[in-house]
Amino acid sequence: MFMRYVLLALISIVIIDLLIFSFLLIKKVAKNVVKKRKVKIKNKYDELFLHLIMETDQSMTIKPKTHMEKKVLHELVLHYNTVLSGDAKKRLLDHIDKSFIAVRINRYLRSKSVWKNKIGTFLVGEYELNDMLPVLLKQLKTSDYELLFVTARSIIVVSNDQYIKDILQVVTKREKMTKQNVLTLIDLVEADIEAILDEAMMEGNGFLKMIALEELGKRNYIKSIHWIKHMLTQPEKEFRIAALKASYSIGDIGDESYLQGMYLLQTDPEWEVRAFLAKFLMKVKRDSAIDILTNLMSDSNWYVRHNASNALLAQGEKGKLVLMDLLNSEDAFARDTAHAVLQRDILL
Amino acid sequence: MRSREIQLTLFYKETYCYRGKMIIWGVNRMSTFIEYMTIFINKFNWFILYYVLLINTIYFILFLVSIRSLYIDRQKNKYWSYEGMIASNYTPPLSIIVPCYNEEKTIIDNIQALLSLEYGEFELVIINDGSKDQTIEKIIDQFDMKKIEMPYRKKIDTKEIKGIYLSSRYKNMLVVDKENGGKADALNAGVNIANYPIITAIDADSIIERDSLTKVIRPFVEDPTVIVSGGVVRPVNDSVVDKGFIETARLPKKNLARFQTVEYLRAFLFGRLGWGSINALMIISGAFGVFRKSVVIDAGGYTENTIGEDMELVVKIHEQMRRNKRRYKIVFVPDPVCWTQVPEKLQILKSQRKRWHKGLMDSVLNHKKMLFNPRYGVVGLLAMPYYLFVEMIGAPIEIIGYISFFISFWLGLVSLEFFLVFLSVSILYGIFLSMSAILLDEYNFSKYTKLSEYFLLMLYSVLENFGYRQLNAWWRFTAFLGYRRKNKQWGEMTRQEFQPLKKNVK
Repeated sequence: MFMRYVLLALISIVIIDLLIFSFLLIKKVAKNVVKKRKVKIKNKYDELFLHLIMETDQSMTIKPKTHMEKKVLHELVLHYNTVLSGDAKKRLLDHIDKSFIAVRINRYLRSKSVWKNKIGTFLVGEYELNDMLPVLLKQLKTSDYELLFVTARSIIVVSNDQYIKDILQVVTKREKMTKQNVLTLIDLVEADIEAILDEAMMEGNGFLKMIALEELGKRNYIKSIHWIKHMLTQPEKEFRIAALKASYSIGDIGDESYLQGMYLLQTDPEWEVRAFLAKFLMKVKRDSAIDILTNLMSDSNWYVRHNASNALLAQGEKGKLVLMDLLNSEDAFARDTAHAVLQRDILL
Repeated sequence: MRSREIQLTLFYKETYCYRGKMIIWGVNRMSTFIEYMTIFINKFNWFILYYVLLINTIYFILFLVSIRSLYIDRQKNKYWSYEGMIASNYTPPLSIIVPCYNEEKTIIDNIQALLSLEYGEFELVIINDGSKDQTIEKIIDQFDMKKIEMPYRKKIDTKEIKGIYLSSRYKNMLVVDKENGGKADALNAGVNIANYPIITAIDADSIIERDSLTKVIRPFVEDPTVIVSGGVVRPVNDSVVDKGFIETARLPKKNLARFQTVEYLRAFLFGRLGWGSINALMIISGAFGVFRKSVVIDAGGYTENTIGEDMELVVKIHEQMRRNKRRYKIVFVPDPVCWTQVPEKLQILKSQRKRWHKGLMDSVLNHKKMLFNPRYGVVGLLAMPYYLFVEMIGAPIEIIGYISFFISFWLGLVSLEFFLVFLSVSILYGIFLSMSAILLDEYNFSKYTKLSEYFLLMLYSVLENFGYRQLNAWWRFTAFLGYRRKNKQWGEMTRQEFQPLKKNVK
């Protein structure tokens, strides 16, 4: 009896092995044949795409007929989207008959499979399908973080800043997304969003405020100055760091009161704040900044001293003189760091 | 005289009687021994049967879990923009640590390839671990390196650093020349010098694909709890390499390398992917792994007195994170590939496999307190027991199983027919797993273009069961027997220059 089961298992595995063997070989043959056909179609479309991008033929519309043509066109659109931007991308997408993909995207968005939802959502952005925005806006309520990111991304790609306020509210609620991912999303917005960020600074939660402040600084918005000054005095170190990051993007604006607020941070109890201060001072080419950086070279924290030495080097001749003085310092680390930074400067 | 005869007669009678008793006693003892042996062999045979059933069940579960993971990975690739990630200002900067020891033949090509990787912000930290050949001289000459006295934080203790060199051509490249201290020591020196919060250790004889770094970093961007991530390693032998990058992936020509290709596919697409998806991955290959630097430092860096420093580090990280009840993920990504040279000579392969097995034993024994310990969750209850019972003692059990069969056959306990059927099922199941791995690879990644290459791969997945598998088991068995703690050294591996681009490659 036992042997019968074992023999049955043996025969089953032999059959399965043979099936896998045959399937793999057939699949590989088919794949190679399809690949050859795809190359032919791809060459044809590549030429058409070039005409569209170069604006040599504005009357043409690319309309794929066969399943294979649709597939190749889809692959090419995704590829060109990564290398094109602005008007060239718009021209290309405007001249493609998107009906072939719209049906599929619709099906994906309605699917119960979250993977298909994500793919469909991503494709809405890639093909810039405006009419599917309402579905995506509803989807912002999703509890799946990844779907939320893809949805927010596609909405921004399609509508630019139109819904950025709603998106920021949703993604920063209960810190659903990492700060880096939220900033990546905001990076996609090409329009002026100073008012939206300002509003976020007034009404948003702590997480949103940090993000908004960094972005205000990164975009060099004038309102960032007010908020930087305000945040420098906040008890949470994250706000002070966000303020320093924003000010690093802005640099020295020539406002003495603004700088004085910064200088006060040299005695901040948090080393991260002092390290960011040293980094910020790289952009402030003033004697007062050099004095503070010289003090920071004796800081108890390694990162602060490291940033201070690099900042001193960035100060130009005056900074280098300070570093040369530090070569005789009693502080071994300050001495070594100054030596290394100067040596690096000579070498590079 | 008479009494002497009587005495002799009595003596002989007693002696013969004693001898007779001895023979009877001997025969009795022998039959008792055979009886005991029969019982033992019988029980052992049943143990082997259950053992084989158990590990094949585990493999099957891992196979199913891996299929699910590959499906997820395939779906993710359809909605994740890698180009967007490369272009993003918020993709984390990365330090690439490349430990090298006597790598003069391939190091220049590799550095050039690493410098042209598609990744936003990264630095290259080459650690020359006291090479005896011209490795350091070649690097200094090729990249115009200048010695600099650079202070750094020695968070992990290492052998003395003789010099740090900066390239006057590439701002993101530095070379550390240090006393020989082994691979772990070299990696630790790299961790100390690295500037960025995420580090990756890449073997100097390995080649990574242009977009591999972006792909392996993806989990860090997606999920802040990810602390380690690893990719697939594949044999590069006989592939066409141009300027340090794979131009055409080809199946190796040598039998030994082909067997290893099948093995690598099975190990990475089943084992690692399966364990990774339940957050119980115990090995991230030393050839290609990405770590959060702070986690490596907290774990005390790479362990020096072990051979398998890559596994040891991952187990230490698991141990520490679980002990401190911190949320973390150690993930495996099947898409990014690192190509590495595999041994083509039996002697080198033997030495490599013995080292791997001793490294595995080191890690399992160093952390035996994790075994069956619910405090360590899935790692303590599943992964560690698996590594102990399947990976560590699997080879000894296999070898003893072969011996047991011959004894069973001699004792008439099993019929040849049963043995052959049992062996056939076992081999065919092994072939099923290997073929499935090849099928999954073709379906998802299709690295080899020719039909003949996949045909050969499948052929070798059959052939490996007749000699290669047993040889491997034997090496691991001898490694098991010869295991001594605290025996460490860089592995012997003859490096070959990569095959240059040929003009007739289509």
